[in-house]
Amino acid sequence: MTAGIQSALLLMVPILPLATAGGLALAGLFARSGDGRLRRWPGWVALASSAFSLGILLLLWGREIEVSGEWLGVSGLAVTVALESTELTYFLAVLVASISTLVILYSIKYMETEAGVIRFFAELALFVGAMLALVLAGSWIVLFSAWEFVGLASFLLIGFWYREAASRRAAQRAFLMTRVADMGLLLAWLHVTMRLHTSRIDAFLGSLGTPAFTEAELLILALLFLLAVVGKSAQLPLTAWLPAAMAGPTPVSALIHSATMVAAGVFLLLRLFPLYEASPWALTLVLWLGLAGAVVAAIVATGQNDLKRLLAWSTISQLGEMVFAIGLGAPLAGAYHLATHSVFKSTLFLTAGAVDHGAGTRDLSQLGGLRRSMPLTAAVFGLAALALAGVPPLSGFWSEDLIVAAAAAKHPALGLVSVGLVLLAGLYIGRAGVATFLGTRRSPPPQEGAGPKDPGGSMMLAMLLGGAAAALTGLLLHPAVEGLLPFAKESGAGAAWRIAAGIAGLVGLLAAWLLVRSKGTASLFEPLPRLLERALEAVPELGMRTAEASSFPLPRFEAALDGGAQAARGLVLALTGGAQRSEAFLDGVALAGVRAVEGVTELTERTESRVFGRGGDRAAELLSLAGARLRPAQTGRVYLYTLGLFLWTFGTAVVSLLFWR
Amino acid sequence: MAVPLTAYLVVAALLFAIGVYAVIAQRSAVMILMGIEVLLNAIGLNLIAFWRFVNPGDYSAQIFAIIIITVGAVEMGIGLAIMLLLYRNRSSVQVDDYAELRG
Repeated sequence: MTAGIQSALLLMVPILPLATAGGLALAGLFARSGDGRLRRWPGWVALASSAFSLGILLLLWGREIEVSGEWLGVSGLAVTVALESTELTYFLAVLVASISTLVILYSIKYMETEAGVIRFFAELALFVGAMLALVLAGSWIVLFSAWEFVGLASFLLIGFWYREAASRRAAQRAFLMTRVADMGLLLAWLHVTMRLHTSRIDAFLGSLGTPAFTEAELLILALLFLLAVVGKSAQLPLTAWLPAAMAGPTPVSALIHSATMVAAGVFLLLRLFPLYEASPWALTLVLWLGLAGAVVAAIVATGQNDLKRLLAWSTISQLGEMVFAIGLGAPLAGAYHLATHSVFKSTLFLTAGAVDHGAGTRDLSQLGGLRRSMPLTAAVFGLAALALAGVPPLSGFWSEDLIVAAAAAKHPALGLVSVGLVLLAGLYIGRAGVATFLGTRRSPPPQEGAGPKDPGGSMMLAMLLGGAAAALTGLLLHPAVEGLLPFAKESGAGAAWRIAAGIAGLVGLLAAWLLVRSKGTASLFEPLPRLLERALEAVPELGMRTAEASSFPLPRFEAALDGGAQAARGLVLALTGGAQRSEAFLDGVALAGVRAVEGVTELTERTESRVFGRGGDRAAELLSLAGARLRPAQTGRVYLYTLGLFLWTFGTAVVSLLFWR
Repeated sequence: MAVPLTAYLVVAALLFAIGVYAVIAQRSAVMILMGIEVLLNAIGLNLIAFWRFVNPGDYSAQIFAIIIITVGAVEMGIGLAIMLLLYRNRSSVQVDDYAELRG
């Protein structure tokens, strides 16, 4: 392959889904929602584009490629647009493309009865293209615009059922909260571009060893980037939007709100890891922020009764673990966990969607006993849940093992906390699994015949693929992961920690099983999860309240102005009363004067009406006639005025051209 | 593969024509606003094309283009706000419904 072909192929990776999104959006203008056969084609088109992107990426295996061009060059400042495929970006791009393909495959069946499938798949393709551009970005401007585009796609897809008020509110909340955080990214990259006069990311990473930036500057930059990470990855304190985002369709939750977009924050940390290495304070903050987020979200997850919200809190907790791992200085563990988590969590969401479709509810207190009626779904869920709980040899074990090892190497207490996190993960996912699939159905009571069924078609296929991937990713990746990523393996702690991590998940699962059997779906730590959840929900509320409160003095100010105006009016009225009386007297005097004048006037009038009057009347008649004739020209139609304007301009131009020389 | 100046000008002229058509023929105020946006972009394209082919050393044309884009965004913001208020009062965005000044 020549360099030109390689660059063209790399360019096509994000452009293909983006173009598909545009095409679908155009098609949506003309298509009418029709019968079932017609409804499926948008899904197949989106699937094809995503699969093609994946295929192209696989063609480019093991090559370092870079495409860049100058978009705007003002003297001394080069704004470049660049895509680059290095070890890290390639790894993430393949991950994003494969999960997108899987989820789109699932959505074809999942969405077939919904109205607005074309819109759905257009937005999904927009997301896939933007996400691929985000991970492959080689310049800040591409990174930032892609970052905003995935936010936009997330907003549109959360609000897919925009006729429901809850969806709209959730979409707005997600958009606003991530936008607040995006300010950090914007300020940081603008500052870097201003200082280095180039928008290349590798130029920034290369300048870290040189005295281009002072230490304080680096710290501020690291904190600003961290703000963006916190918003996108729903870390403390900006967590509340992610559980609310579950108002969107389930495939969206699987793709955007568990596997890819929320992982973009972690990806940014990985991409800029040299920056955090250069400012240890920021790295310490990353560590504690990640740890706190992981623990709090895991505790909240143990008390959730909505299956999807439980998975959302679990996602926040797992993302916290990745951030924690990066804060420990073990980016390999973070990146590895990012990959395995994407696979098993999106699979969990896919099965949650199947449960929702099959049983008609996601409420744990109503589900139960689905193992018998949906055996395949239960099996896939079980595999992915075991992977989440870090049971060997499924995928989660390998990456959680690395995190625990890195934490224990840092400090035994941190090691203990991370083992505790694995235990909590086992506990909440075990509770979800046992309450959904084991026992008997709680409500409505089980009936003969018309029970829930395993989904068919593309949904089942995607779930089986996801389950297989959740089981095998760790095993397949483990020997190769060091070669695939640009990070070195940490010298981990001893085997005892690894065994503890492996067992902790099983203990959690067992505890969950016993718990659900004895206490039903009541939570273990009540009321702690509920309190924490409410506290985190209060963060955006607080922002909104502050905005409202700051606008509150306005009405009072207006009322004061009103009162002033009323008083002034009263004063004027009183004054007028006095003036009226004095006027009456003056009137009498004036009347006499008037009488005298009237006599004169009458004389004049007679002359006027005979001589000038008639002439004036004629003129007036003429004018009013002309007015009546001209009036229809004012049609009140905007386009006629505009047309007139354009014609007049055109005419003036023609005339001036003719007579200019 | 060099694209000649004429090509840019033709595209800009086409854009301009599309914009004029949208402004004249559309009845929905939102579409008219979109037409105006297309007009602005046509002008921006012309500016940039002339800059690139006539005086590429001088960057003021880029600044002009960026100012046009900014003004366009602001104009869109204000225009849409006005439309929203009109819609609240009349529950219609069809410009034909606003014909108070008809003779």
